[in-house]
Amino acid sequence: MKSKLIPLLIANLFAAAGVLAADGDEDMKVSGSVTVGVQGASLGTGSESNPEKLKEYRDIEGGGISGRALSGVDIKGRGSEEYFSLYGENLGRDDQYIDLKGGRYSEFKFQIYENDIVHNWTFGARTPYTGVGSTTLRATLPNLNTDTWNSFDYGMKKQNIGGNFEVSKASPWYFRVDANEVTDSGLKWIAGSNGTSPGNGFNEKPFPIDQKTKNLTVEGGYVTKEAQLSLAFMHSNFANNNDLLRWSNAFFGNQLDTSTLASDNEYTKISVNGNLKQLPIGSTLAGRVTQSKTTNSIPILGSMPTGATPGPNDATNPDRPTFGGDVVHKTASLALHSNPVREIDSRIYWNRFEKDNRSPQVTFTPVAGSNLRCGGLPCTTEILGYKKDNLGADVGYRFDPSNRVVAGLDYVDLERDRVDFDETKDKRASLEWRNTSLDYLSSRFKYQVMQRRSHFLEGNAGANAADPLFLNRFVARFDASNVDQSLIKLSLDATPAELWDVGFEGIFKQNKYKDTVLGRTKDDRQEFYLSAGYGDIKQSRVFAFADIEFVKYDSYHRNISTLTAADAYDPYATPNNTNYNWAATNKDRSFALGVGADWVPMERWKLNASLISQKTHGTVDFAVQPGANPTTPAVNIGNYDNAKKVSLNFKGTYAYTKQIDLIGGYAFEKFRFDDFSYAGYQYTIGTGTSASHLSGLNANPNYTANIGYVAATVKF
Amino acid sequence: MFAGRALAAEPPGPEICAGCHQAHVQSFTASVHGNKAQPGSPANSGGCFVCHGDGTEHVKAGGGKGVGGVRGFNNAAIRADEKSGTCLNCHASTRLLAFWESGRHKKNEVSCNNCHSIHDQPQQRTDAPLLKKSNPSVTPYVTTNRQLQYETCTACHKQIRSQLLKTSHHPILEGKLVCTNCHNPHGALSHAMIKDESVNQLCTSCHTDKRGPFMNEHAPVEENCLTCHTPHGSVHAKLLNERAPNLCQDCHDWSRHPGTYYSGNQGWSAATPNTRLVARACLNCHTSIHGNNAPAMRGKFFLR
Repeated sequence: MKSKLIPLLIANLFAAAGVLAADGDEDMKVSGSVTVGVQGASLGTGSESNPEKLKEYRDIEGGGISGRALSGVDIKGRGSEEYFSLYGENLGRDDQYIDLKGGRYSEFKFQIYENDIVHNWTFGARTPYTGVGSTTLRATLPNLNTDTWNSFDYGMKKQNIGGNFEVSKASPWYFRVDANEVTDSGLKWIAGSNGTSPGNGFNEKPFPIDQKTKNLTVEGGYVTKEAQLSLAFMHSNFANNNDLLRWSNAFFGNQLDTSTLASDNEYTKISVNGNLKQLPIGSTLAGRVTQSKTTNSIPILGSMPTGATPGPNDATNPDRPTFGGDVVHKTASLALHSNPVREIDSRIYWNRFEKDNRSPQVTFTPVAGSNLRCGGLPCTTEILGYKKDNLGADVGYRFDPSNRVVAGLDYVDLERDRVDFDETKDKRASLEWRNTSLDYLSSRFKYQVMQRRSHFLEGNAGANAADPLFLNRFVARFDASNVDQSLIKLSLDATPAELWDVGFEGIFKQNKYKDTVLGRTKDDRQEFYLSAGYGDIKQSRVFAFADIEFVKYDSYHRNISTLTAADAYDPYATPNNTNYNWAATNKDRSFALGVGADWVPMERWKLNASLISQKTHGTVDFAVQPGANPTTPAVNIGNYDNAKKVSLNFKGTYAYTKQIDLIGGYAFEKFRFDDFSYAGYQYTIGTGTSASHLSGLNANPNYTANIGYVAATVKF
Repeated sequence: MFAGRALAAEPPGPEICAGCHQAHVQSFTASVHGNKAQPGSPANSGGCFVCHGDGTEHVKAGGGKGVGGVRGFNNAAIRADEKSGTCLNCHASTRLLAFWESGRHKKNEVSCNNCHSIHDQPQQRTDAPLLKKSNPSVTPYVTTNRQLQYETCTACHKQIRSQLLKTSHHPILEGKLVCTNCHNPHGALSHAMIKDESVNQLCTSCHTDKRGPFMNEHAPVEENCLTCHTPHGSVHAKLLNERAPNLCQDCHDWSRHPGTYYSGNQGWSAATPNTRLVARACLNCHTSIHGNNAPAMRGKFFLR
């Protein structure tokens, strides 16, 4: 995407310079640099040549040997009264960045920017559909001959253009305007089951992204050392030019089915915040109140295909033609920070959050027997809202210059509109000790416990163990269920000798979902981070780090295949080969080693090098309840998001003259991904009207790349 | 060096300090702090002593670290709030610092000079004024030449440094997002000093397509994005903190699926690969997991 902004910015630069020079700031000194160069990249061959992770967020040419221009501009103007700076890099590229700032000291300042983000997901994806890039995808399915499919790329470009202007001439009053427009374009994926049962397959297909978000914030306020008050109004409009995707669905006779995409919405927010400082006992009182409203208006689809040909069963029969979404968020916060004596500091705070969902509840009454019904009954949407109160306090006491202890208590009461848990109460207590007794070592130790207790609504669900609803008595969703949490953190920062520094951080965290029968029962984290550095960053310095993380999730579930058994929905029933419980342990291990150096080997030379090696390894272990011998045994998975990456980076800068720097660099990257869900990937599964068609999304991201670049920077 | 020079009644200014601290005086003069034309700047108020204290005794004694009561910001013996207080003498009336007292950095005794340096010239253009860069860059190849903000923050936040490098991450390493897109390191009333009142308000300020309102909402999505996602980086796709189907099965259990295990003999090598496990697992069918406006059963079960 080529920017429309470059000529606009250049014009604004001249305009800004004109404004700034209007008073004749003759002291304005302009300096800067311009960089031009070229970068080349080559990818490996075969299965090592997929560029999606290489180019995920970077505009790097690849595939064989290919190059792209490098560019950069960095200009500063500094006067006694005014200033500006213009920075731009990757001009004309998909990852372009331009930033123009300026102003007159103590009077006003402004900024104009463009920040383009490219996000590539998969190159060379495939689909049996025609019309890729449009909102109607047609195909005659099933089509298991991938040779006849069409090729495309999944990727998105986000162009963010904006600016702000702030006036502070009437200080302590200020006024500020921020505005930006974000344009998203590209192709993303959407899937969706074909038929009415999980066994009916799915189709993964591309939909066009054509969205724009426009934001405007106006803020005014008064700020001094003693007090601050501000009022801000924000408006945001999200517009999606594509709110529906139509696609041929083989299960319904290749009629056009419909998937809904993100709808337009309007968002407005008013916020007031303020501070009163220098109050008695060294106190500051801070507060904030906000109210925001999100609305939209969407025609409700009146029909969906339910069979091979259109028929009366297709009607969804909503009780209203339009959904008028209306959600209001209200928040309030108050905090009092005090320093009654030098050794003691304290904080008391209260936060309130409220989601008031004023959207209408919609009931759909499809024809009896239609597969659009929900368990044979009409479908009614849920209206979800919540109210959360958070109260807390912490006190820090420095009992000598080298030791400080901080104790804290925090309480959260959350009431929600949910069918399983309508209220949770969290109590958190923490204790932290900081020590700097040794000149060369500072340490910090933190211990925190949290207890969540929830009000469970489904304790009497279902009539008996043969009733499917009976199972809800035992399913506890981890985001709201009872949990006991403990957290330990240890940080050490040492300077054992001159120019040396060593750092360590260890984190242990455990959640025990103590009353959960079915669901997540426990999760554990152990994380260790070690770093060491030697040297002076202004001259030469070496830095290295090592990171190790272990994460484990334990869960317990019930398999029910014989639905008519008298105790089918009771996890405490005696297991048999079709109805039984099972456990899963999901483990993630990740390791990273990195080393980097900045070195000034001789006058005029600066070298930088870094090497990173990363490895992740995930597994899932299954265990079936003793007494059950299912037909399909549970087999552990040994490769879940396994990845290895090596990144090597060299850069050298030679000051050819005072005005000219010559830059050269080389980078090597190797990425290997081994995941059970993608190993042996196929584009189709099954046959007939329940055949699944996949597109190759994330199927093989492996690559090896060599990148080289040379550039020259001219300073003035 | 200074013996015999008559010292004025006023504290010594840059021209005296430059005798030993030439580089510091040069960097000060080149900065906005050294701009005499700007009302209220330290240069306009006498120079070095505005921040470092009266250096008269320091000069008389011939210099030395901390000698004469001069305030060096790298001196660990000086409390963090004293160091910050020096900066706040002028900057407290800045909009961005209004909530400094409410922030975690102040509470955790982080002072301004931990992140900012008046005297170190940035090696390359930065996104924010005079951010310190303590270590060489250790990153994959990136197409930006800017000194990136995260390199300042991760000097202390080691866990975050590790997460930014993970396979699935926001484009922070690449210079497309910065820490201050989401956080206000100068203080905020919100937890983790995020810029908005809640996590969801923050996330949907960029991810506006997830803002809704939706006719069919997914409860954990409405309450907290962090139930399923971890924003700094994850080994799992889409910044998920656990893989599908396991993440979904941690909440959903029912007859047949999702109560069935999807295990190692149901992958691509099976006679019929299980569509609830391969590729995107649950999301192969339940596609509109953040909410949708689809009708009837297709919408309620996030199938459309």
